[in-house]
Amino acid sequence: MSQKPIIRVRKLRKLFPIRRGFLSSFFTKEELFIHAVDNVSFDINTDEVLGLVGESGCGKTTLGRLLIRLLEPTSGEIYFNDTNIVSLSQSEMRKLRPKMQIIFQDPYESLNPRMTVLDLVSEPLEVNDLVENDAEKEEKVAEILESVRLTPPEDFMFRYPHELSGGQRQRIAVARALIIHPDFVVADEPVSMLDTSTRGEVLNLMIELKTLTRSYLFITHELAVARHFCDRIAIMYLGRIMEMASSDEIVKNPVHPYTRALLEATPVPNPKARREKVNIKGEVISPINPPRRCRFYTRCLMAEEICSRLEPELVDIGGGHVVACHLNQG
Amino acid sequence: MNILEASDLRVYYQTTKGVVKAVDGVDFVVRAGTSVGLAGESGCGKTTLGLAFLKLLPENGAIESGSLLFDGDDIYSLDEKTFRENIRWSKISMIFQGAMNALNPVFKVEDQIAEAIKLHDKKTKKKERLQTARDLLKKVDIDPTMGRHYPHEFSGGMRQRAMIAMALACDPQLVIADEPTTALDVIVQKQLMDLLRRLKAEMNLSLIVISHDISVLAELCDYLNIMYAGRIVEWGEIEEIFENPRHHYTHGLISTFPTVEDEERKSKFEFIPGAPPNLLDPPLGCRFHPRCPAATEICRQEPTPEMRKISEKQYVACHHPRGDLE
Repeated sequence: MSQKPIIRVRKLRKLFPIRRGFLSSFFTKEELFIHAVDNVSFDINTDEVLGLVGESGCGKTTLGRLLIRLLEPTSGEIYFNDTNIVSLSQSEMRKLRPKMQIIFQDPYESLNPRMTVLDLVSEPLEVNDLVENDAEKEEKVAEILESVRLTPPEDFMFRYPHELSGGQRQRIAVARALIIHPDFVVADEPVSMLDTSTRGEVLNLMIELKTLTRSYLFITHELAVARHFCDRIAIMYLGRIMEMASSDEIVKNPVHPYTRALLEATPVPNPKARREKVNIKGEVISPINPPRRCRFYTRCLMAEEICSRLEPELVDIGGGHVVACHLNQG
Repeated sequence: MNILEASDLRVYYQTTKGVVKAVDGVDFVVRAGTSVGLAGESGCGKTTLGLAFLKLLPENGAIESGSLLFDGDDIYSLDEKTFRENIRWSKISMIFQGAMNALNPVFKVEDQIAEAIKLHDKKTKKKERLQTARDLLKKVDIDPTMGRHYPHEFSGGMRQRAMIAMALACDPQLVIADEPTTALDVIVQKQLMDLLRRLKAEMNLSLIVISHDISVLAELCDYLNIMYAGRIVEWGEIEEIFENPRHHYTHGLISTFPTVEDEERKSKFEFIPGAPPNLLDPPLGCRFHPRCPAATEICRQEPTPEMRKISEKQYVACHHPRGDLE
């Protein structure tokens, strides 16, 4: 599966400054930043689905938005097909935009309630000047509505979002992202707002419609969904990638203590397989100016002296399985 | 012995669009010392049912008919004052959904717990109440000195623990937990489930756990009720139901749940086609028939299928239960 990467991320950082009061700025000189994404490097291959899994506040949404430059990085490089998009001007970036799209988490918030389905789905076509006239526009919209199973399309085109169920709305969001056949789609928790009974339908469509795009970054907090949806999984904790491997490898042979804790904590729908206590202590530390050591140090039950003074780098332990842990580097 | 027994319970909401029959003829039993799960999709009436057990319905909702017994005594016909003094919180209490936001931000956590005690037992002294509040915090694994802090200084998991402490304030026998772990991260969720299990054993509690997430119920419960569009469609011992779900909806719910334990990666996800019905105008006959793979003519006709015993440990309301050879 070692195709050419479509996205290459190198030493990407995003720090959000914390605004402080006028008075308190007299007392401390140190500037405070939330280290949302802190020195992250990875590739997404062509035709690959990469899962980005982590708990709330770990920086996964920030990372997703950085990749398509909805946020400006503090430092680092993002290559999209060999173009470093960080250095592009706004107008150059605009030309690249149709190649990268995003599906947002909450279909109740992300669709403008005053626009009809036709307007919503055709907006990317209009913005990017991809259609000549209304007839062509409607034809393209009808086609994509068919493929997200909102049929017959004429029934749906003139409806408003409030007339649709959550699952139908999210299928509109998928249609909207894929109608211009982008090369890369960031899907930010696309099913977490949906009832479990209807999630499968949206996920299946995304798998089926992968022919319209090349690669997905699938952001989720649910390891169980990522295990089946993604080719590879990256585990994120406090702005860093802790472990990354194929999804089979991550669930069958987890190495990082944090990945193991996540797996132990993930509930299994089987009352006969109740789990023991999870091997972790304490709570997530603050992402504001975290100390230079392993981010997981305070919660790790196996931490050693070295973990408290040196931040581990991602190291390949074989077959593309990379881990950032001092204790597991052979 | 049954600690709670509801039969043919109906809860209706009056809205400008008509009557919403959120709970429409529900039988529900909790055996003392057990934990009972209530699962269903959003809008199926599961929270309404939980609130009805505490008679805490919103103003436009009311219990229309049915019966409600606690420990064998009728609590359905009690007036509000007697119910508040003798039942609510001292016998049955609740951990509300969205606990992150259920605490009052301008009061210290220990004061809020102490207030719950005061409202239901006025005779206690303030000092005793605060002491009880701190003991309760300790019981849910929060450092008792943290009680002097405000909710915003607590993490999400700690706030949920504080809500559990508050539910235990008057030493109840039955606790209703409405989505106790939703919106929390998996590790915190797991720790809270361990805590609930431990408290249940230590305090000899009975539990009702309401959740859309059947994997949470699988970890916590002895019995399981599956609710769909205002009615219970299947109930029984949880292991039986997971092993051999008889209602097609139950089977759908269980099989739509991806699990990390699967050996092979699945290339397709299961789902139940369609969406749950609008309770203003539910379908005639079996309410699940428009989404059901086994529906026949009889399912489309009134009356709705009755709940019947299908095995030693399982009850189902379906004309064509799964695994029935006819």
